Amino acid sequence: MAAKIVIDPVSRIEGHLKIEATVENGVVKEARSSGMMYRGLENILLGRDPRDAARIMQRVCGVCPTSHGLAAAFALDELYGVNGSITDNGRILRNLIQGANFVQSHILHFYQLAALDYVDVTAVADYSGSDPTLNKVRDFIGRGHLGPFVPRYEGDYRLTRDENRLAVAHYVEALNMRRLAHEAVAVFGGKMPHNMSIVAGGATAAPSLDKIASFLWKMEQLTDFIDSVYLPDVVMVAKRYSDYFGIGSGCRQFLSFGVFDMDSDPDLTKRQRYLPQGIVKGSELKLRRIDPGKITEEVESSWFAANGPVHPYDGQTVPDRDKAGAYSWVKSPRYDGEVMEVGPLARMLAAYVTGNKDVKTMVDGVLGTFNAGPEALFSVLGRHAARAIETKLVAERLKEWVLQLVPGEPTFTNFNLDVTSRGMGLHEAPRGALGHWVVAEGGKVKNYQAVVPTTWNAGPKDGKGQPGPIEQSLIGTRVKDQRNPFELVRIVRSYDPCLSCAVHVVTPAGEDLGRFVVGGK
Amino acid sequence: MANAETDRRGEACLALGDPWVAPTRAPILVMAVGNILRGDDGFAETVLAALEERGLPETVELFDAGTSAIDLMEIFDRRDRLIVIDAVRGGQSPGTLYRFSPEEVEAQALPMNSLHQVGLLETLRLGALVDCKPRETVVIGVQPQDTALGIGLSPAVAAAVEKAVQLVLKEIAS
Repeated sequence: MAAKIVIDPVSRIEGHLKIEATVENGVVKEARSSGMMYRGLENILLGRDPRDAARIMQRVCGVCPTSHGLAAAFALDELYGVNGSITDNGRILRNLIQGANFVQSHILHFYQLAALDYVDVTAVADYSGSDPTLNKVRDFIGRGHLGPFVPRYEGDYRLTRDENRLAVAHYVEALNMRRLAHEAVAVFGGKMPHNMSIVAGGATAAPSLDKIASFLWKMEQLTDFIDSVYLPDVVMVAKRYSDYFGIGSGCRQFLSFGVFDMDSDPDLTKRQRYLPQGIVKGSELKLRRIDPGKITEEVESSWFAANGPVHPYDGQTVPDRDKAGAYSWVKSPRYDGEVMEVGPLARMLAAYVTGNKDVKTMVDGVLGTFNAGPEALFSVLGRHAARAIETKLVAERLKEWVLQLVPGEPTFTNFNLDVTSRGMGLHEAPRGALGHWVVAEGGKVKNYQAVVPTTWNAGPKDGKGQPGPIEQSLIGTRVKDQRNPFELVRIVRSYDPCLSCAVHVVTPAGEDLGRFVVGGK
Repeated sequence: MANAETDRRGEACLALGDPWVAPTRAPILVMAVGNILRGDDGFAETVLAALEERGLPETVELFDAGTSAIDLMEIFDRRDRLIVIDAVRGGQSPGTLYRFSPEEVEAQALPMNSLHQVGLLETLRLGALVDCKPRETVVIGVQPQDTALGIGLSPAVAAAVEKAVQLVLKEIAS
């Protein structure tokens, strides 16, 4: 007997992702991941000054605008021919702005977006101790302010009462910490959200001693939080839910475009990046180089007019809402025709197999703690661990990199605006590989396409019938309680899905706010 | 509008004891919420740009929040008043202006009206947990006509810009 489980929306706070799983004898037989919104904002750039891309593309997303801005800047660097001449200050400033955003995003994901699947917030309801934070949360939920904490599934919460309370206190502390990380982004980003500092040719912020000191101080606070709260909490959750090292493995093929430039090699596939670019397949412990020509997008199961697997330079975004067999607004990106998972796990694997000592030490340490083999990395907890390890390593590097800035030295390389060329921006958002492609003629944009991380992870079936990574992670999963499908939401959220790349196309019925009308018609 | 200098204030974080930045902050924050790439959803940004031309007192800071409601907590910190400009679906004809407080809407349990209200209300609530909540919040909203892909306002909504500017000025003066 088959039953259908629908989770809609599955994302907490941001985005709109719908999951449909067909379950037979308690096991998922088929899974459909549907992005329930229409993207295609790239069309807006047609005919505009290409430099606008670094500002406008930030607006496509409320969660990772920084990454869209930087991916656009990389594409524009090539378009304007300055991809080989970004100054050290420009390169470092970009790394600092993006790196602080990674730290912010990962803390947000673990505490605000994922932890509540494991932590029982009701353990605070009868708290009678003296911790001011827990008292505040108790009063908060006592007033019926359940907003961020519900809806939730009931049943499988395994932490002890004290562990739950500790985690809830950390949930609140994490709000302060990601706020601090957000301020760190703004030190050199000028303004957040939607920073103004990252531009084609480098960055516009002038490094000064007070800014360097301010950034460093914030990072010291954040590394302290990461060491003493975030990493221990991930381990605490992993100990109680250790079966999740064996759940949600997925496609076991990983793609990273690499992030945090160490030089200004004009070829983004060769540029030295702190977290390297490449493909890692399964347990084969080696990194294959990326050939960007092998990246294609398919729309077999997407509500877009059919145009076969095409490279993003030739991509089109023409909606077709009535298309038969389609079930998602998300396209299906493929590399050499193959499904790829992107995100922190892909980046940590790429760094691990190229011998990054810090990554190796930490990954081996986590696996040792749980007496697990590398196999355990391909899992729900493997993704959470990779994200936490990355947060720690990036925060540590940021403290070193900020001291490499040289006040007074140039941050920006100038270029000629009248350009007929193309450019590719390969980059990593916190959620995974992000690519922007621009074609310009006579100084105006002729085509612009973006392939965003969640399309790689949450994309639907392709023309060969291969399900996307999230779909593959769900298929074969045993669901203990179909009314409370914890397994499925935990799998999906371990990918940190984010589809807030646009305002919803799905419009809730307008409620009558007539009584609040002001100023006449 | 927000530039590098005014945003230096955004760095200040008294609660966390940042020793590097002076803790000055404008008590009144006028914040524009919306995606400028979605037609009438860019209303707030247009109103903000118009307000910038009016020579506002130093007690007022204008902030373009764009689409990132979740990131706003820090911006709310240590404000006496928050004036939000947004596109709101309230069932009236396009260009109609609304004025309400989050409490009024919350009490009615209508969290899905604005295109961004969910994020905004949730952020305000979460902000209360870390003492980043303005003392008073009011939303000035416009009924959008068209939020399809594209930059620019529909005529009905464009006609409401000046009225909204006046409403915000009245809020600031009150």
